[in-house]
Amino acid sequence: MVLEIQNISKYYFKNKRKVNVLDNINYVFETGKLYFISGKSGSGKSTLIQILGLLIKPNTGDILINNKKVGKLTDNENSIMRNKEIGFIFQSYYLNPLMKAYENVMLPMYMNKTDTMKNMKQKAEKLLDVVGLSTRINHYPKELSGGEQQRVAIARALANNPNIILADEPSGSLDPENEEKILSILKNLAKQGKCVIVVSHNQSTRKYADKLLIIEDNNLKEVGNNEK
Amino acid sequence: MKNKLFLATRYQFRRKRNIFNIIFIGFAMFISILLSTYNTSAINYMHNDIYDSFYFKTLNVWKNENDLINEGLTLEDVRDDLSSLKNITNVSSIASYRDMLYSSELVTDKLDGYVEFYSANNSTLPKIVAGTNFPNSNGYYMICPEKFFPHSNPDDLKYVSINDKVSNDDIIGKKIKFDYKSNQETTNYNIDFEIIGLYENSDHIFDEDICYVKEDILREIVMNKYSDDIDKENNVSMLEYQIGFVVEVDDISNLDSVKENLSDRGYVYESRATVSTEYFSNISKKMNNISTIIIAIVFIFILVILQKKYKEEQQQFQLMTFLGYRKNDIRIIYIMSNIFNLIISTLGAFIISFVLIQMSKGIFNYYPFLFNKWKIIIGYSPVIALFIISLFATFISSILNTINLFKDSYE
Repeated sequence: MVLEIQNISKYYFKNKRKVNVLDNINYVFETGKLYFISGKSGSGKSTLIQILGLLIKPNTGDILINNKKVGKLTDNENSIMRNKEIGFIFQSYYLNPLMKAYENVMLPMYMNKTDTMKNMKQKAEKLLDVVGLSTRINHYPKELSGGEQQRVAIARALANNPNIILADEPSGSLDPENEEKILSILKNLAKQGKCVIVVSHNQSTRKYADKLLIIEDNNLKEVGNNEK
Repeated sequence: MKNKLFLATRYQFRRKRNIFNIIFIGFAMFISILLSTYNTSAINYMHNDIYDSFYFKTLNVWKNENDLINEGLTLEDVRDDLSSLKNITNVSSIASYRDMLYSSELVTDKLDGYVEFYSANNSTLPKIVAGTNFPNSNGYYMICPEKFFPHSNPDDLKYVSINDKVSNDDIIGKKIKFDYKSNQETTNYNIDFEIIGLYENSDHIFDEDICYVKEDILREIVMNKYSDDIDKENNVSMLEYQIGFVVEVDDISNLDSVKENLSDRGYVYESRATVSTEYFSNISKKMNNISTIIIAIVFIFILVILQKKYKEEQQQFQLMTFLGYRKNDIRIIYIMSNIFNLIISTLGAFIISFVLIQMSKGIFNYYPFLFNKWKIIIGYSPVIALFIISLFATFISSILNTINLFKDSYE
């Protein structure tokens, strides 16, 4: 077990009316698996990603990461937890245009005050090699294709060797060929022992998933299992 | 902190917009420096060239001849009365106040060798920059300008180079022979003056050919010149009866009160030179207004560019939150990057404006006759004013934006 959500509820108030987004959901995400979460627009996928990524707090319930409850952590402790344990991948890559590929990968490492610049650079280069971009280390984002930019973003997500990878529509902006590459990399990461959680509309992602989940009627349900 | 400083600064060099900021602020700074330079130079010109120049603070003063007779006053009585007046530093008979003599030893291919002599004492001498002032002993001593151009027509001096001056390093202690004749040309005279000191004349106008001597020496020359027209009974030149005295006022600001005092005591006076400072004052006011507008534009410009920068970077700040950066770290990185941008912008701007100013100075120096006696004093105050106002704008923008930094949630 790496990530567990217990009795999570999240609601907003709109025009003084309570709007439930997630209602008392429970689930255990394990290492070594790729989870595919789908759902209609507005179903609460992004809210769930934010809760799993410790970016917002649920109204009720708690989250356990490596059996440690994070509900009572301060903002700063949350940040440290996020830095060490969670890697994010987004549809729009969110690369810094002023930084070269390896510098973008180094970005999460700067919070680690003990590491030297030289070590960080070596790590970043290795990670770029892992995602097949060893020849693009010194390129700026604008000099890379969409697929390459997303691979830089994956390398960045792995910068601090986190156990959890949260991917929000990771192949949403890519052509089928690049989509295949990205999902293969994510699948490999799961095989290497990471807990990879992919939120997507794209049904072609399903075939890479070990577990299929859906958010429906404010609940998270497991709807399929590709595990052999 | 090292990593934060690195993140805040390292990548700002790659922001292409920074070049635009540098050029914009640099241009604004250059214009402000030019305006300020004009102001400081004009003020310097007014103060050093006009206010401190004896021409503008000396008066020719007469006592009506009938009054002299009616009151039974001698010329010495008048001199003593004038000397006792407040703010008057020197009183000389106008005849023995100034004269012009010729020395063949000072003639060059550009200079005709004529020197104007003015009477002075140690309290009225300008600042001595080499040699000494007048010793107590009697002697034919003269104190000449540091940039000495013995020439009768000042207009010609606009076209000579500084290298044409005769006051070289070895001029102190040198004796120069001057030849002159009595008015009726009945007698020839010559006199050997020793140059004992040089006075500072880089600022003052009209003094390139003026040497100072003691009044009694000048009086001796005048007596010789007017030896054909002497009142033998009183042993004075007839000229002295007719002309009167030259009085020097300690400061141009006291000139009006001295004039009032002279009128009250029945004297008639005439200013030896006048100048209107209204022209400079009006231009100076306009330039100050333009400078204020420029500073206001720079202030708004910085607020606008920082707002743009904030919008560009907002997504990156959210990304940093996802990557585990603490909110305070992000705030510090953001503020440090803004301050760093400001520093490189103003530094770049300063370099640009400095180069432009030096080029402008080069043009001034190339045409020295156009700016004769205009000493270019660069006014660097706009650099400080622009930096402070830019820093203020940066802080306002940074603080307002960091308040909003985490308001928008991730979509």
